[in-house]
Amino acid sequence: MKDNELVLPYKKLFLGGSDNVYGFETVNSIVYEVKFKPTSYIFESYLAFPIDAFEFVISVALNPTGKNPPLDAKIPFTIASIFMDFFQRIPEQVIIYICDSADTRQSARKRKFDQWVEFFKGNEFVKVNTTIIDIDGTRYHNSLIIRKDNPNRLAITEAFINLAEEQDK
Amino acid sequence: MIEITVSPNDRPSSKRAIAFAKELMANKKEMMREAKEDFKKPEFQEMLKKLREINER
Repeated sequence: MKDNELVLPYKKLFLGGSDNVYGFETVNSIVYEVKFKPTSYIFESYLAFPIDAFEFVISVALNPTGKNPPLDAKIPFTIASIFMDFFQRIPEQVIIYICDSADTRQSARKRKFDQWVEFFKGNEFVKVNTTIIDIDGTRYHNSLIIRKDNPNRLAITEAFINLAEEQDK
Repeated sequence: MIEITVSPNDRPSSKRAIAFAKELMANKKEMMREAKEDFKKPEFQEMLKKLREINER
């Protein structure tokens, strides 16, 4: 792809449901499902006020190629467009993303997620990256995305950072 | 996008933080497992049909 080539996102549709499902299909006929699962309850013991929090997950729903999905320059733009659409539906929300730690590729997945969201332009959003380390050394890379004008932004980001930095004595 | 990255130290996080991460991870795995089942549901198939119609325009 040339630098000056305009990349348009794939068309997406919002299916809704309890997990706020979106879907899109690539040029290779790979169908992706994007979900924003309500996870506000996870924050109940960390914040003194209720928030609308959602965990972002992207999954392959159909892959007729039989191979690993190839790199696709349109996918980051599509993810960014889905994020924007979902933030328009619920502006004062918080989105959380955790990188899968089932194998040792968490760092690669984190880079991929970072690439997806770098297409957010301007200073409208704040992204906070933290790492939680398990007793066995497993690292869980987490990101929180929040609108800059969220009235509870400072308290929410502070709670998120404090949680990651917290250690038992 | 304004980005803030908190560098971890190399010591284990608190039990509370580990529980938080594990809960998110469990949710994620469940949702990824569900994706292939969701695809078979009539509402997902209907959405896909609409998507393909839009893409063909």
